[in-house]
Amino acid sequence: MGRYAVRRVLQAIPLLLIISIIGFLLYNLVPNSPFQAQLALDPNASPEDIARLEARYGLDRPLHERYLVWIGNILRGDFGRSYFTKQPVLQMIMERLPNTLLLTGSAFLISLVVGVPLGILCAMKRNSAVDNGIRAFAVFITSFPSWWIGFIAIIVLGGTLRWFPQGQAYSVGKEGDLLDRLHHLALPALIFGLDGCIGYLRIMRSQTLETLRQDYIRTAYAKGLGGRTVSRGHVLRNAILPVWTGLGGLLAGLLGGAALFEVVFSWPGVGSLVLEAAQKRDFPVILASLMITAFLILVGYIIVDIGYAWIDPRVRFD
Amino acid sequence: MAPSGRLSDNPAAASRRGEAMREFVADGVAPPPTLLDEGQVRVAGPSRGFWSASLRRLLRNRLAMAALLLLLCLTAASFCAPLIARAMGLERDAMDLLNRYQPPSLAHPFGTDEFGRDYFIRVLYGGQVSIMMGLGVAVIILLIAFPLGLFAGYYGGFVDDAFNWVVQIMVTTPVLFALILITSWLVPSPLTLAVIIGVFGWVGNARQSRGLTLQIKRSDYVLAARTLGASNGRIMFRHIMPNQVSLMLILAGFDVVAGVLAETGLSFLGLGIRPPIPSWGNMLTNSRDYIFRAPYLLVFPGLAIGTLVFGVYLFTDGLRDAFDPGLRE
Repeated sequence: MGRYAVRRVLQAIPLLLIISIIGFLLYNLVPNSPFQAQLALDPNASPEDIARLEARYGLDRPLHERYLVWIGNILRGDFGRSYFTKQPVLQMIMERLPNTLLLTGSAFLISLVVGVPLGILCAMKRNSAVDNGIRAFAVFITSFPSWWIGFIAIIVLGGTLRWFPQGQAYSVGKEGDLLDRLHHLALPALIFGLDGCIGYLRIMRSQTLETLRQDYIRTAYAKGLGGRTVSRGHVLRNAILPVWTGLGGLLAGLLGGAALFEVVFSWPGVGSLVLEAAQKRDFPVILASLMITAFLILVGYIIVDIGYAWIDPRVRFD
Repeated sequence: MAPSGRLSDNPAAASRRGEAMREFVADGVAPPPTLLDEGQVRVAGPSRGFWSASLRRLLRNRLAMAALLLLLCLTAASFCAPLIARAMGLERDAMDLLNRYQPPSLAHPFGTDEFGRDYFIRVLYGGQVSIMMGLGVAVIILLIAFPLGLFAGYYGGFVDDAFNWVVQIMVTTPVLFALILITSWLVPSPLTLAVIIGVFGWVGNARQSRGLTLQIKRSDYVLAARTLGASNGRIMFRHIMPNQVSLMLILAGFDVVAGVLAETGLSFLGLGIRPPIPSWGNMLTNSRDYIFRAPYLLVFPGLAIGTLVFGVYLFTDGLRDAFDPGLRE
C-alpha cells in the first residue's frame, strides 16, 4: 500500500504538468492580450503604451519561453502578480481559499450525512410512500437550476423571513464570532449540498437494493440473524463501497462548481475571485486558481483511492 | 459500479457456460428449444426482437408518453415562436417603454419585461436556445463518449491506459475554470456552448460505456462470435454496440438535462448567450434585478426550465423501464 501511494503521487506530477499546459494554451489562444482588451478604447493609452505593458509582463516573448518561465516560477512557489491589482496571486488566493474549503467541506458533509441515510431509508422501504415521496422531491429539486434555488432561498429565507443573512461570510465587525460565521454558512452550504445529497441518495438507494439481492444476505437471514444485524453488518458494509468511490468525484464537482454558489451568496471564495478576474482577463489569477484547485482535487482522488484498501479488504494494490 | 460482485459475473459459472457454448458451436447443433408449459406454446405468436419489444413497452407507458407529448409541445411552441408572435401581433425585441413591468394579462400572458417586451414571446424564443443546448450537448457527448468507451473497453492494454489518462486529466481539471477561460474569448452561441460543455462532460458516459464493454466482452455470445471468426470491428459494432444503445439513450436523457441547466449556469456567470437574444438562462439571470418589482419575470423562465427538465426526466425514466426493465430497482 505504501508503494501504491508513492506511485499515485508520482503519477500526479505529469498529470498536473499536462493540466498546466492545457490551461496555459487556453489562455494563450485568446486573440487579444488582456491589455489590448482593456485599453483599446482608452484614448490615453497609445499602442506603444500597450506594447510596453505587454513587454513588462513578458507577453511579447515566444510561447514556450513564457510557459517555461511561468511553470518554473510556480515550482519555486511564485504564482506571479495580478495584472491589475499588482498583488501576488498566491496571497490573493490564500486569502480566499479557507472560505472556499469551508463552503465545499460543509456541502460535502451535508451531502453525506443527509444523502446516505436517506438513500438507505428509501431502499429499505422500497416503493413505500416515504420512498416515493423522497424520490419525487429529488426529481422536483433537480428540475431547477441549483443557483436559481439558491437565489429564491436568499429572497424568501434571507429577505422576507430574515432567518438567514443575505450573503458574505460574516457580519461586518464580527470576524471572530463563531455563531455568526455558522449563521452565514448555513444557507449556502445547505443549497450547495443539495445536489450532492440527491446524487448520494440515488447511489445509496440502488446500491442497497443491489446488495439486498445478494446470496449472502439470504444466507444471513437463513442462519437466523435478525434484521438489524443483517442490515448493519451485511448490507451497509457492502453498500457503502460505492459511496467511497464517489467521494473523489463529489469533491471534484464541489471544488470546481463552488464558483456559482460563491457568486449567488456573495461568498468571498476562490471561485468568485476567478470570475472577477475573468471579467478583466487577469490571467495569472485564473491560471493559478486553476492549478491550485486541480491540485486539491488530485489530492482528494489519491486519498479516496488509498482509502479503498482500508474499507474493502478485497481490494489489493499491485 | 464494480461488476465483480454480481451473481452473473461469477467466473466459474461463466466459464461453464462458455464451454457449453463452444461445444455446440463446434458441433453446429441448433440450441435446444426453450421449455414451455403446454398452454404457452399455443399462444406464442411471432417472436419479438429487442427493439420492437422495447418500443412496445415504451408506447404502453402512459407517463412516458405524456412526457413525450409535453416535450413535443414545448419544442413545437419554441420553434414556432415567430409564427405565434406574428399571430399575436408582437415581436421578440419590440420595446414598448410605456408598458413596462405589466403583470400577466390577456394581451401579455406572461406580462412584459423591463423594456416592455412581451415576456411570453421571449420565453418561447428562449426555449429554442435551451432545447438546442440540451440536444446538442447530448449528441456531442454521445459522439465522443460512446466510441471512446467502446474502444478502450474492447482493446484494453495501451488503448485503455491512454483512455484512463485522458479521463484522469478531465476529472482533475476544474471544469468551470476552464469554461471561464474559454468563454472569455469565444462568442457564445448555442452551438459553441454545447460543444464546450460536451467536450468537458463526456467522461462519465465514456466510463460507463467502457465498463459495460468490459462486461459484455466476457459474455458467451462474444466468445461465440469470435469462435466463428468474426473480426474485431464486427464484434464491436454488431455484438457489443447494440447492447449499449439502451444505456446510452438513458444517459443521453440526463445529458439533455445537464445541457439545459448548464446553459442557465453559464448565463448566470455572464458567460452564456448574450441579450437581446433571449435564453431561459439569461432571462432568469436578468430577472433577479426586478425581483420585487416584477416577480413573475423570475417565475416564468424558471417554470419553463422546470417543465422541460421534468419532462425529460419522466421520458428518460420510461426509456429505462422499456429498454432495461432489470434496471428499474
